[in-house]
Amino acid sequence: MLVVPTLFIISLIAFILSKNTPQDPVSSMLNLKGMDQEVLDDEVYKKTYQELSLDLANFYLSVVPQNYPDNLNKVYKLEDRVLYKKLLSKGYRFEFIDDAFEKFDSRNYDLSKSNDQQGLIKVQRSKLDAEEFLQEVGVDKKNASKSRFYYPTLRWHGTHNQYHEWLKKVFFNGFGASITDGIKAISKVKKALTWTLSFTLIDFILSIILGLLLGYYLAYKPEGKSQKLLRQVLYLFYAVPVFWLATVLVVYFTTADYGTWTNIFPSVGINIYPEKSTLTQIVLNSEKLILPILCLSLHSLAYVSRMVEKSLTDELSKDYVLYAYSKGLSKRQIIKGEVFKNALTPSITLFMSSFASAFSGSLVIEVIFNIPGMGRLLFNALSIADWNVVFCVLIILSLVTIISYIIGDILYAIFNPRIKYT
Amino acid sequence: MDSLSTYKSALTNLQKAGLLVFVIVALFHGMIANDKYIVSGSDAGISFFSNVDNTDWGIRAPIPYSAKFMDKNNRSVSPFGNQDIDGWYKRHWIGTDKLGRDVLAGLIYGSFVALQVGLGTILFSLLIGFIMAYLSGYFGDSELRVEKKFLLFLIPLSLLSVFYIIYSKLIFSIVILLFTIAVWSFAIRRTSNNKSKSAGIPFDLIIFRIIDILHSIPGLFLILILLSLFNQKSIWNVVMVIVLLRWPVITRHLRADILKIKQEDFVTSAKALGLSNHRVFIFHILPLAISPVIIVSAFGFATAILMESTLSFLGIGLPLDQVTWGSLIKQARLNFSDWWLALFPGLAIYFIIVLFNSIGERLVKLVKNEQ
Repeated sequence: MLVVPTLFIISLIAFILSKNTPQDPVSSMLNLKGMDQEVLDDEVYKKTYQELSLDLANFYLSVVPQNYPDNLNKVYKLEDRVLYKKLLSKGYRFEFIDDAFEKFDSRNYDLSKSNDQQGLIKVQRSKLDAEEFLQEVGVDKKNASKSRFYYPTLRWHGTHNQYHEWLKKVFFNGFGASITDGIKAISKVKKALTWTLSFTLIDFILSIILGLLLGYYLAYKPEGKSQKLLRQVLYLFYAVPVFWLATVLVVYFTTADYGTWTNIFPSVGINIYPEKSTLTQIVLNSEKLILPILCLSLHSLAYVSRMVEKSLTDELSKDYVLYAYSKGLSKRQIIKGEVFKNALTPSITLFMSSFASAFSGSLVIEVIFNIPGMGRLLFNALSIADWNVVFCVLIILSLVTIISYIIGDILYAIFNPRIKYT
Repeated sequence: MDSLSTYKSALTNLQKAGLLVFVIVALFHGMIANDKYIVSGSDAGISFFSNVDNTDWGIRAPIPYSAKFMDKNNRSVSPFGNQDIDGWYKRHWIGTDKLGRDVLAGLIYGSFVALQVGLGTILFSLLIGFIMAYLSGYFGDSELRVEKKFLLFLIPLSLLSVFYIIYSKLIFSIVILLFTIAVWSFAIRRTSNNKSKSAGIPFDLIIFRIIDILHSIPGLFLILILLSLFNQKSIWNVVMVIVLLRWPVITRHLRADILKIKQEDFVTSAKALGLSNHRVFIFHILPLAISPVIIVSAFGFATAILMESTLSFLGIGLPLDQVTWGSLIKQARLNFSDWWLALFPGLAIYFIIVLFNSIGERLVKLVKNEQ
């Protein structure tokens, strides 16, 4: 079973990526608490930074140039960290840069203490380049030792690091708390997954059943007039972008702007009943889910029925079908008795991958219809750098996707006994 | 054999015309819709794309608005409604958005964005897809071998070069990368034929593990996460991220064909003649394996445009002031009464997707008939 290593690698990659985001999780968290950036106290910032355990080293070990400090994350300000990195990459030693920063701070402090007009102009070091900064402080660059940059050194940080802390959170604390409201990420994802799974499953089942019927209908009499028309209609839904279909339906058919008869569907948005469980909420909102499910399933229905038709017609051109005709069987009997199973067994894996791609489709639908599902959760979490939630969404979704592939493989093996997994 | 002309003749006239119109509109978008004079002459001489009012003569674009130009007097005007304009020439043929930007000009500029995204995605994913298919299909797990004792030297060298690639400037990183590859290929060349002393490099295994991992995350979710990593929004970030999702498709199709062709006698004889691996792959295997790739590319073009418009509809990836087909539809969601904002850009996306899908299907039929 390759599920575990795959998930592990995904988590590792996601973790590395999250450390390289331009967003600052501390300031977005403080923003959410309603604190303004301009009047922000350094101490508060530092405390939050430490609370999120961002001051620890990233991983168990690190290989860095020799002039790097043990742990750069101890520098808690984002702009300072960027400036430190710039100077370090130029080869200056960490102690030297530290001194420069201290000098800069004391100079700025002197400036603000003095009463004259010029003293009010504080130089912001976040706006400076590395060279400009050194000039501003007035240090002699020639005294700085620069030669140690090209020696890689291995630093061991032990288990007191961010990745370890995160793994602990994953296993013992439900993926950690969301920075918006402190709720465990896993419970948020659980609610969202219930929403998403409920309507992707309905969409999946609907499109498979109807798709099989329509595909059969199309393959049974390929040249019929109604079949030709149906094929055109299905092609239309196949090529229409889901988000456009949804937008058009929302814009034209949920308001009375274009005449009273166009106000067919209930307006966008989900009624939230905080006390009730997620499943009852879904049932109570079932009227509002009609349109999203319609949008999703029209597309997947077109996909499935086209696929079924194609594999049926391919199978019908084989020799054993000719033999079956010569036995005197009717076309209906041949399709039902012999062709159907042969044609569709190879498509099972495709069906299951259409289930996985339904998640992608559901993301757009959720954003348009304001459904609190996985897509909207990820969308919102990314915009505020809520990485605990993002990790959780990522891991759970890949788990669901991998499980759906495994189910597909198992079904395939059941329908096609020639396949044996060792 | 498969040449470009057979593919060209496979297209219907309608498809050819559609393609031509799309490419021309996209490439000459600045001449079709522009609020400036294309060519104008005054005392100072002839100038191009100038905004001078006191010109003696000038040629204007058929649509006198550019995509970002805001007509303050005509905000959210309907195509059929009253418009505050002088003369039919200045009319907004399919309306304006809330800021007074002409929708038709937006559509024309959007086609340029779509062409960039489509072509960029196809080219880069072909490049990566070819290299990966070469490694995983042609070499497989045991074709390229390296002597075990060399590994004692090669593995530390590779780790060290990874360190330098991360921590040095871009130009040095590239030099170090090329140097490492050169050392590896030198070592492979020096490896003797004795199979017990050498180890195969498991390209196939590694590449398919990567594809498996990419496959196990729903596409749009992965794109969303990756796009949040970039500092600045730009069209090329979007292209790169879509490429990351598309190359496995090309690699998988190509690999299946390469595995088949590799067994043929002419490949063995080409190798026996002493041709290099690159030569055998590029001149003797690739031409026979190219048709599925062209088909996949035609579908990939449609997919790339669909993804880009979805992303700009969600407001991620592309700069917010960039007008694309997706961003026009996004505005329709915010004001329901502007029906023209929902209709026309969607039709543009729809027709492009249908165009490229039908080209792909046509090519599928062609390849099937040949066999």
